[in-house]
Amino acid sequence: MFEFHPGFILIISAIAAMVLPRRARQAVMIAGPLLAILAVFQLEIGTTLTYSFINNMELILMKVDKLSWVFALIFSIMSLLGCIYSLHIKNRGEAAAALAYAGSSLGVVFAGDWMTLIVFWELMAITSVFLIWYRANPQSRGAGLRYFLVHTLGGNILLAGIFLQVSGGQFEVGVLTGNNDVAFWLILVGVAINAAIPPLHAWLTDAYPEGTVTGSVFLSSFTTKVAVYTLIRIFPGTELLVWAGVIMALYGVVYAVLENDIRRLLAYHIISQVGYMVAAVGIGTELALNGAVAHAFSHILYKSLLFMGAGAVIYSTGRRKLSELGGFFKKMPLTVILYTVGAFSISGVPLFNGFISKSMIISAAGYNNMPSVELLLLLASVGTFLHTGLKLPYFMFFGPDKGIKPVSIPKNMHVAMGGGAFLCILFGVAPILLYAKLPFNATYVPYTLDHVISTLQLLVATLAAFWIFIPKLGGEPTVSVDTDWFYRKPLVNLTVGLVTAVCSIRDYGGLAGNKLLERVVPYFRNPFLIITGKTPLGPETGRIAIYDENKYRFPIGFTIFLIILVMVVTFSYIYI
Amino acid sequence: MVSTKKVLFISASVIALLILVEVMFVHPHAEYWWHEFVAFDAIYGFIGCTLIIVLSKLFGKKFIQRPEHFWDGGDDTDV
Repeated sequence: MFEFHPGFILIISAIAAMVLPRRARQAVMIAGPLLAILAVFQLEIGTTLTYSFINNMELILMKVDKLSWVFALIFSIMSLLGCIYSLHIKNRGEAAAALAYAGSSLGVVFAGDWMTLIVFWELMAITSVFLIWYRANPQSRGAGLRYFLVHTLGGNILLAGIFLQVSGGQFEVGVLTGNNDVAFWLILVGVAINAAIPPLHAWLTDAYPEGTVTGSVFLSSFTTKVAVYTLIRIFPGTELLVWAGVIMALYGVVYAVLENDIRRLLAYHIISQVGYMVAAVGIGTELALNGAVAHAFSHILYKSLLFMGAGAVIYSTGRRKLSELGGFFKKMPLTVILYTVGAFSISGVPLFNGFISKSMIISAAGYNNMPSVELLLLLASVGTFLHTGLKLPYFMFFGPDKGIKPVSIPKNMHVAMGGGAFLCILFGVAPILLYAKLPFNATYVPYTLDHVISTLQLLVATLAAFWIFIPKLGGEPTVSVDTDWFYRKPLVNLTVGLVTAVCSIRDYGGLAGNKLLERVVPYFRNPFLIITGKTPLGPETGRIAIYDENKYRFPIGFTIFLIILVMVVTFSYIYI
Repeated sequence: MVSTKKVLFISASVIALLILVEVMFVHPHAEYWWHEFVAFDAIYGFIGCTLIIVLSKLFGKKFIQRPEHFWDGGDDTDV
């Protein structure tokens, strides 16, 4: 019996992937996640793994309970599917970043204390940004930088909250619901940024569509769901989250109507789907929390499948906009079928895995006397089917023929999509497989006749309305402004304006100073000029060296050297 | 492409069938009145879908949608 941190297995695989040649790297990309899955199954509830750190701090690197176990399971399964999907890539850095990103997600899930949590939390941001940057075009560079800045801001807000928490003597991660102090709010905001709760969500729809084809599959699976896990762990029953979740669920739907970029449309539906989970955390009953866990589990499977489908389209056609796609379903039949499985799952069609988890949350809202929440979440699922199940496949694969000749996609992409689709159907047909693993004490029966009939009515009626509006729903060549406008327009203008202002003050000040010097220096050389009253013969140019700051600058390497030196001295002081 | 009439006819028939099953066999345990209201979900789905499309498009045209080059005003190039 071996008990090993599954996240560390993935991080070690990441390091191996960084140095190994292609064939060996592919082997590691399969073996690492497989070992991680195996390690998760070997873990027993209640296992802890600690590490003595400085100042007598005992870091709890791994604390296994039912909640962390089920999240660890889905994250390690997802890392396998994602790695299979990206098996063909030649970029070793991207493979390593993906593995390390998945590994650090597992690190957050198992973290028993705040310090461990924040370290892996930041590591997630650092590793994931490369999945965007490796697309290597100006859009992805910009989007990646914004993504990184937002996440470092979020991480720092979280860190501030954690400092308050730890200095207050609370070292272990625990429930904060009802605390209402500064630490509570800081941690909530930090986590809310990663959960993409509006208005803090714009990084997601900005960055995910700009990632690499394979990287976005990983991105869509981890960050927001790790945040959902953290919310379940720290903020169950925080009522504010109910309404935040409902707003999220509908917000994504509204933007998805307008969206033209296929992966951005899917990204808006991540926000919408995570809204269900956030609302469930807010409801906070055992059934609702089970619903949040189950929905996160299902969501990771179907949303990655959808991103894989969209990625396959981008890979084979080189196009990413609905207004440029259409009419080639006969040329990629397998992709169309596998995508449809994902679309049916997210829409909550019976026998697919979205049905068994989403209905749980909606029912929990009903049982908990929140009729408006129930109805609004139901409305959001109408929107989900409308976009992901109908609009996107219709205009992407069917619709008017644009004469597209897709190239064939690598086999491993189909294998990964097949695996995801299989799991979506498996858990949809046999929900007990998932329900048996859920952490909280609540039973739920998804397949009642009442339930199935009403869901089918809802979906068929949506189909009818969609077909009437088809002429109005095609992609339009526009972009949608979201809350990222604030930091992409006014904030940029403000920063540029301030820098320009400061620079011009410095420049003009320097110039004026120089002129003054030129006038004054002759009098110093010959003080009698003051008495004789003769004006000096013009400024003596060439004598006064113009100040050049670059002459006096240290090379940047020197600063880095100093930093390393200080670190080495500090660490040798601590450990020796 | 399948004609609109055909799709509407088929979906109307399916909904009719579903309503029939609902009336004959389903005994919901209702918390709210709409759990017992026959065909509520079909009506809600149709009206909801229409509302989502119409309102979002209106809202989008007025506030959200911009030409494709909206973001190209220098913030992507200076990175």
